[in-house]
Amino acid sequence: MTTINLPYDFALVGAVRYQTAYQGQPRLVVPLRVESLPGLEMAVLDTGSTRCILRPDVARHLRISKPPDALEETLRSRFGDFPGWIERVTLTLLPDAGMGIQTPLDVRVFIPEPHPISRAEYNGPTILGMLDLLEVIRFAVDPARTMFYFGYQA
Amino acid sequence: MATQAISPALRQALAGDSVKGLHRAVEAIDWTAASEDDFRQAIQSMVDAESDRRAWELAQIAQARFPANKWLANAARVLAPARVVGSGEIGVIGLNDSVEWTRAHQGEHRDQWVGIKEGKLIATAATYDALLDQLAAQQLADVLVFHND
Repeated sequence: MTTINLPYDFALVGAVRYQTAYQGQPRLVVPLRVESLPGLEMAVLDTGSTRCILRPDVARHLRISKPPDALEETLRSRFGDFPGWIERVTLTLLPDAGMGIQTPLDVRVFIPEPHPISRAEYNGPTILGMLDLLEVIRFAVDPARTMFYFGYQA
Repeated sequence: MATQAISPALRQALAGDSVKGLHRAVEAIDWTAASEDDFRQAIQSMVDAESDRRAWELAQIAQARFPANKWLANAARVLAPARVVGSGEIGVIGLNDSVEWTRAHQGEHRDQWVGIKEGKLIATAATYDALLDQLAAQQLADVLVFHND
């Protein structure tokens, strides 16, 4: 077996099992704390998404409302097109006990609003996207053990 | 929205669909002559083009130029890159067991929100809010919650 030394200072801080499906679709789904909510979110890790997306009912439970000077954007997803705005929240990557330490991150998230015509709500998962979160951490996946490893550049 | 202070190249770039053209035009502009609306239009265009890093850099310049403008201040705040904000807490007891529960019980409790702690089902509810209210009432934390479709 060949061992590869990473060319930078990589601090591996945690590991946790992941779920392999969301709404019947194959996805990589990891547990996550949003702010200090007692309920841990199951979030889809999506390297094809630039944005982190926070489910609207989570935002409502946190009493996050759209400010008058919000930075607005439109989300185009397989769940439909939704207006919304960009906000900042603390998302904490969580290891299992004995498998590392928690990693809180202050990140951008997109919070979808109901569709302007149909009034339908975004019905997708909370998403961990590339541009807003994944590109500032380090992560690895072991499909054989369904383990998600995370860390960051020290 | 006033764009008189912005070069024709930027106006053309904002109207076009080339992200590279937008970046080139933004870099070529002398922003010392730009108005608040010019900054706002350029920042919004870069966010729409998923160029958040450049939008954030421009928002910082804009906020320094126009500190009373709340939209620019908010843009500079929310567009900052992600960062680690602390660490040290140990992992969550039984979290792997809870994730495993979601894998093993995918077909159960359909159309319900369920709460799992240390690999055991501890609560169900029809809505996310109702489930979190249950957890708060029982002073429970670190409960994995999800909707079983």
